[in-house]
Amino acid sequence: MRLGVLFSGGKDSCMALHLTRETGHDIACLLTVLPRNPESFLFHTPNIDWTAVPHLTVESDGKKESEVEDLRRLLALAQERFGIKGVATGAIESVYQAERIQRVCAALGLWVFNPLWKRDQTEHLRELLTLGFEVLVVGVFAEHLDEDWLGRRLDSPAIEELISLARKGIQPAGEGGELETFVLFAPGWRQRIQVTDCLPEFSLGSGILAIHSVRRLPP
Amino acid sequence: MKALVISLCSELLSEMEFVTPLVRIARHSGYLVQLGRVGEVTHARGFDAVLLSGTALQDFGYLDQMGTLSWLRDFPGKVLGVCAGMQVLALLHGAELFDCEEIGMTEIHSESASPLPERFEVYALHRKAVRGGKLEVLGSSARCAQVVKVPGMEHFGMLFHPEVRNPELVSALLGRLK
Repeated sequence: MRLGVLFSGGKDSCMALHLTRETGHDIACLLTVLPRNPESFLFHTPNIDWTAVPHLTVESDGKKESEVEDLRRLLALAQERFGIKGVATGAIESVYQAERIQRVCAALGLWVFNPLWKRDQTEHLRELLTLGFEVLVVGVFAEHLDEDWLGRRLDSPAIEELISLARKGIQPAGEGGELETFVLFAPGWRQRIQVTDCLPEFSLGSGILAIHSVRRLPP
Repeated sequence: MKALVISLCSELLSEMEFVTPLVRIARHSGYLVQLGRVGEVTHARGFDAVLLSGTALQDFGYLDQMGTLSWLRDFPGKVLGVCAGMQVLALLHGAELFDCEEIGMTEIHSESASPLPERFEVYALHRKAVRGGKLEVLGSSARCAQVVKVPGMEHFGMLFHPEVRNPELVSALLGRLK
């Protein structure tokens, strides 16, 4: 099926992209709603060439109540330009997120695929590692995740540490909004990303890693 | 105890969403689980329970496969049909489908004789609901029957997706049915 993949550059949307490809679907485009005012490494970073798939974006006006309309515009545009029949997402737990996407897609007659839905978060993290994903922590927004986590790779010790934080209320894969990630490499990508200039910004218990420039390397 | 989980999904990518979570819950409920696919499974001899999965909102391919599931009507063990699975179960017992879309959290009121909680919140994701047939309705949303039972058998249907917010209902049902 000809599909678009909702894409943030983080680990979950990249895993959804991987699974969509692995199950034989034709990935027509990556789809992103851009914040108008991104502080946002994720969206400033020139990521279009990572995966050899066209990247379609629409700009959000940043208002909460417009989120659904922003998504509808993006998906309608993808239908028109790329002829997509459905959408894949990296949703794992959020009923709020899943419901909005289901509603918009139902109205547009699009299929929805949530291949990570209800996935065990511990297994999810370990599978990322097994499959060769290289993932950087670029945002922390919870107690027990201090500024030392910014810029940290999700390697085996980091993942085990996140899993051990579950008993302190941290959802290991960050489904509670505890952390944001940025994927440097994933299976099937034709380039590997190296961050060449970044700055951690941490205050009042939360922070981001602002990525200012990257270099693309052969895989 | 052995359970056969039958995928009603037309697409493999949907199975990760609608089948894998059911497999996990059945395993946690103490069952050895085997996976089958609609159109390929012709019986469930040797199994104690059969679970029928849901499908993507646009996926009605299972309706073309109804003939391959007629054996379920007389399956002596336990059956739980989720969403599309409940529709299949209901159709096998003379019900009909009608257009009824619910997407998102909704409240269910259960009948007084039901073993379910009196009221509970569930995640619904369907475009069709069932009516009629030889079914006992155990719980309903404001729009339609959400939990049904085949009288005299341990065959249940849940139109909502218990794997999302109510996995304990599946475990309890499988446990109770033991």
